[in-house]
Amino acid sequence: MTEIRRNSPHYLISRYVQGDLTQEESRELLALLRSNKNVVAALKANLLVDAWLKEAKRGTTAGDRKTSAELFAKALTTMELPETPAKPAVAVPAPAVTAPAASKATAPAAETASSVELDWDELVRLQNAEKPIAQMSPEEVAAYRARMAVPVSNVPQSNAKQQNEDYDPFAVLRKLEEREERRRIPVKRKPHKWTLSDFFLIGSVAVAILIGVAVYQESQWELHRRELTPPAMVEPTEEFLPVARVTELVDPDWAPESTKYKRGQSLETGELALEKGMAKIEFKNGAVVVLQGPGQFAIKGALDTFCTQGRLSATIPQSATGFTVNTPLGTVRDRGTEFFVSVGQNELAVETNKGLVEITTSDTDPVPITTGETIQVSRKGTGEKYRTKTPRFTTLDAFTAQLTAYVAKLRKEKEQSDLVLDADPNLLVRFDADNRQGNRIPNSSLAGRAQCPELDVTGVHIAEGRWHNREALGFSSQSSECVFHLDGSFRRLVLTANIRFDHLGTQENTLCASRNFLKVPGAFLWQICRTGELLLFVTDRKDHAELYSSKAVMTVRDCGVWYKISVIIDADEGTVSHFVNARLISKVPWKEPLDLVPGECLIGRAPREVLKGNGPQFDGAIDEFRVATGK
Amino acid sequence: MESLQTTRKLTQQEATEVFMKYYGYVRSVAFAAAPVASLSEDIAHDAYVCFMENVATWDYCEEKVKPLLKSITRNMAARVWKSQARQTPEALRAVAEFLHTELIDDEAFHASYCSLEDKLDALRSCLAKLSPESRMLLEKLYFEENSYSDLAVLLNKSTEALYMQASRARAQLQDCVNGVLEAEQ
Repeated sequence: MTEIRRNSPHYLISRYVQGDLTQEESRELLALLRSNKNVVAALKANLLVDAWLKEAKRGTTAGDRKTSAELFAKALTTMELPETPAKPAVAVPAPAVTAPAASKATAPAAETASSVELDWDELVRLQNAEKPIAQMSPEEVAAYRARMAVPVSNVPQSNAKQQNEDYDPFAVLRKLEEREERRRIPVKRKPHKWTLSDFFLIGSVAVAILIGVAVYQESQWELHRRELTPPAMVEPTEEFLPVARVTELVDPDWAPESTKYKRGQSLETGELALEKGMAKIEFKNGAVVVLQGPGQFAIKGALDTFCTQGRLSATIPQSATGFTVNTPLGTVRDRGTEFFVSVGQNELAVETNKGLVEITTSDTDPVPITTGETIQVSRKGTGEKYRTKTPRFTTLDAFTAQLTAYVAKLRKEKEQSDLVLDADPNLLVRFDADNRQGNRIPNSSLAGRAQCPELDVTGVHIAEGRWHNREALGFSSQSSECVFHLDGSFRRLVLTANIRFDHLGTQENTLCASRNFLKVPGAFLWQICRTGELLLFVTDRKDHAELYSSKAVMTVRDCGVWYKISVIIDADEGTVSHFVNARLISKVPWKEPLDLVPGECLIGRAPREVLKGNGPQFDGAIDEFRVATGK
Repeated sequence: MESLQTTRKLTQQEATEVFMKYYGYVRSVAFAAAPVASLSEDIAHDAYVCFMENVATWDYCEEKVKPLLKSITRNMAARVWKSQARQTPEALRAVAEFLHTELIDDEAFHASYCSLEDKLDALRSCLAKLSPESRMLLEKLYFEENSYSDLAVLLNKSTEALYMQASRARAQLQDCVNGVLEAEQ
């Protein structure tokens, strides 16, 4: 008999269909599936037929159970028992009908044919008969035996010994009955005797559970600890050495000649000119300056600043002792304090809220100013110190209160604009991280939520969003996976993401990708390149995609800053357009426009199956993601 | 079902009829998304609930029904698959994940999987064409629900041989049914 190879494709396929696959068999089957298309086709064929036959067994959808019986009955009008190799002749006793010992009856010698005519209903009835065969009347037994003549070759091997002595044609049927019996009667188990190995096993399991609980709790604590924490200062590189960062803005109105700094933006040196509003600047050494517009403030170094005009408050910890604010009329040097500076055209006022500062002017030696003292300096000379009863400048607490009110105003404006946006019939998907419910974010779009109800979120942490106290999804782990399904094909798609990336230069940042990228025409991949270009790849045929990129718009200085990035992919117009903060960056022609097929989409990573290793990640945070169609 | 006007909201009963019309398709997508047979009915049920919950927000359009149901089913499948992942043996899960990528967009598979009624005659005639051994094996596996180990005793063969024979028989059956259906077209 040919030895059956346990790694043959048909064997493994059948094991999978049955649900009996072992680990070793699974590995072998996967290797075959990946290397041989015929094996994939055979597996699909098996799965289809398995489904059909199970459906036939249940009956058709019309609920006709008789159909399934007919299906098999009509086909099996003649049931042939399998042929087996010829066995040595055995002595078969002559048939004798005796009652009631049917178990010792023997087969009729005349009927040794390998096929018999079967009455299907009779067989089923007898198999399901309430009366055991041993209790049948002799006539019933004889009638059944005449129908169920079992050739010698079909007697099970285990009964070979019995076959020689006492041929039993009902052995097969008895096996069926015994199996039915086992199904009805629960097996009585012997009482278990506890041994040392049992206790050891239980102890090991208990320890493993405790360790698992501890690890889980640690991970949860880690999640909470990181919750809503702002991103760390951008690490210095050869070309960028930040010393400070703009951490908060309240209703800012920048002067036309000033750089329009954004919340989260890092600075090495630079000038800030506010016509209105407030800006909070945190230095790497711990110093915190709040600039109140109208005002002009320049950062010269980690401890060296210049205030041309305006008001500022400074909180200087010990780590930043020596922090200096230069002005046209004098230099204020910190000695471990919180102080205020007001610079007018002809006047400088310095007030110390806490600690000690020193002021040096052109006509005096350094003058110390302690808590509660104020000094005014004019072009005519330095005045006398005097005590102030209440601070005249914005303290850090007052700034925080104003910030809270400002953020509340922004949030309300956003909620109102979101209501309008969500009602847009062209909006297919809007996932707002602030609406997160556990591991899912519901789709806020009214038109699209039936088709795509939610974003499934795994392996991300909760980061600070675009504004204070707003949530965002933080991506930094290689196991992060945020998935949504958008089936169908589209002639036009607008993808928009509010993002903050924390690294550039060492990796691409993937914003969104179709799982079928490079497999299905119309699937896409959207990224920020390591050199700062915005990239869109569209699959035009299997294993090939065309690239549509913008010029370099992002630099390492943009790390930590929130941006709204968009791309419009328009097959009717034949163009791909990239936007940053609603400003058009580039518009390139689309070589061979085709229908876009998003399918299963990933946010923040590229599909593992497409790219080697774990694929490029997105290192940063996303607090809103949108997909729209139409015009 | 009477033809419905395009772009209008469905009533609950109409929505149910629409869903049942595509129920086989939903089952096939459910199986393709989570290729473990026992899960496809649960997924189809969840898809039905989600579909009915959102029917008021959706303008009916015949050509959008299938993509809509496919999306809903795949979303539900992802959720069920994740929740059931621990209970599915690792060996099966690995192959199921491979199958997922193969089957999920295979519309030919979906079309074949879901519609048994138009295949019944072809299936019956092809069963009759199988060798008696193969036919009996399939009958005992599916109709009598025997296990492979029981059949090994009954038929005096090794379980390995029976696994292989069953797989070959199913593959032959599928080829035969496809041939019959193509000839009919």
